[in-house]
Amino acid sequence: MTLISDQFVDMKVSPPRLIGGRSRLSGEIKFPMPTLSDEFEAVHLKREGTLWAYTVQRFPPGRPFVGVTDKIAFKPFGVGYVELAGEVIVETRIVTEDFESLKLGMPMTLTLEEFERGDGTGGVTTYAFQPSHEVKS
Amino acid sequence: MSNVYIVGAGIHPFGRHETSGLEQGIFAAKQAMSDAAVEWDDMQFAFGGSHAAGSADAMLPHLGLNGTQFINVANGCATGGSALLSGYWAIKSGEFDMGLVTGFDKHPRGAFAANPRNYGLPDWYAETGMMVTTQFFAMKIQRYMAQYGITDKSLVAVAQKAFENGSLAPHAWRRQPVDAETIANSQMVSDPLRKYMFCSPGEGGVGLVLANEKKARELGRLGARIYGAAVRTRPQGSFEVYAPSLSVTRGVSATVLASNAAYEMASVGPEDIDVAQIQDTESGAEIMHMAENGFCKDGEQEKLLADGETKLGGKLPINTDGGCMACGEPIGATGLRQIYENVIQVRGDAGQRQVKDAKMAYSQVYGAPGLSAVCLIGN
Repeated sequence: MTLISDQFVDMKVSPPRLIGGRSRLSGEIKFPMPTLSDEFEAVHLKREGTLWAYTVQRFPPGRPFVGVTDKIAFKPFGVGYVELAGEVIVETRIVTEDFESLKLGMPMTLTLEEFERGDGTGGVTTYAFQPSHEVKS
Repeated sequence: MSNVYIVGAGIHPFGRHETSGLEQGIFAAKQAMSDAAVEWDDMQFAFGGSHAAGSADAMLPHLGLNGTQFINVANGCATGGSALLSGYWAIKSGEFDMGLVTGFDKHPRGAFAANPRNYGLPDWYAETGMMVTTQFFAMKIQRYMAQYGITDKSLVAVAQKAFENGSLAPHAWRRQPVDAETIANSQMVSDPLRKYMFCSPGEGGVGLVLANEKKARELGRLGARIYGAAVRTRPQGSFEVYAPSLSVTRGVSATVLASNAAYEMASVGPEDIDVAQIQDTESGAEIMHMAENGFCKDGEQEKLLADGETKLGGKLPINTDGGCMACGEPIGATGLRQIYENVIQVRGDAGQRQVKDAKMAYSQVYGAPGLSAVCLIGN
């Protein structure tokens, strides 16, 4: 598995957790963790949240998107924001079997998603959220 | 401090052209000066900008190498609005009597591509396909529709109005009306927004000549005064484009701040506005911006649109030249196009799309990564 960045997810814990930054001054949490100042300390974010906003990306994004951009081979993917109660609202890719079933407020769970690179060099993994009822236990 | 007037206005038709962005800018600037019956040598300054078509001061050899100070303005999607604000401040300060503000652009087909590093964001944000402006607009309106009971019908109505109005504006790109069914059945781009609900990256140029009251009086051009102009950036807690995370404590948008500031400068309120040009990157943006600029409460748009209140002849005509949807989006020119349209409206020169008794006109342009420019013009 090739992670697209080691910046946002802690793989040393099981299951993996997103890493946010909590302001030592205001307590406000940001994602990803801001690295330009020492104001923020790393915190694990909740793995469960609720769907706050969503859409479906139905056309291939332009560069620097690394996924498949061939118009025929491109597979639409979900994008949205998930509210992690009391922490932060994070933007995320959405893994779902059914775009039509997405609804604001539905429970979502953190997962890892592998998608194919457009340059034929295999898959790349990033964080994503999935409707909790679709998560296989 | 002097009152500031727009004494000349010029535009190169928006759309797709063989000519360069620069040539379109020169055309518009010359037209603006000719409209004001002044010469380039009369200009004491120029503020100009383009986002993707080169440096605006490349105009100089074509306007005349006479030593005039020409300042290139680069402020993303607010480039045009920022150029105007710079010219406004220059004259209001009393330092100058008259100058030129101009903006032009030329973008290739397809969605705008953004470099995450230019916005202080990590590469993976774009590499995973999340740095796409159309997604943001879709997510924001999807949530808004669910919260405030707005339906797809309103999205269609806004697009239909845009093409209707565009058919009456000589400078618009899309000059053919499109029926509701075609819009409602067009290809889904980013749910709930469809192809005919979006603007396209395009081309165009605008020039405006600004002057103080004394100069405007000499020229007999007191018909379009700037009553208020403000640019504001995103406050903590707003929901703006290119944001990998948002605060759980929600706040207002950059547009609300810019709008309030401009109303206060002009000592007027939304009820005093006769015609408005507001950012309509897509149907959803126009709907949300109606509320963010104070023209209605959240959710009232559904009825206002069903009743045709924002069409020509309605209570508050919005985007009378078809807005971005009919004119396209050349980033450096859009904010100035809105002001051009408002100048024409308050002068009473808008022909078939003239809003009756247009005295106070409002414009608002929005851009990445969350800023808004508002301008109020009255006669």
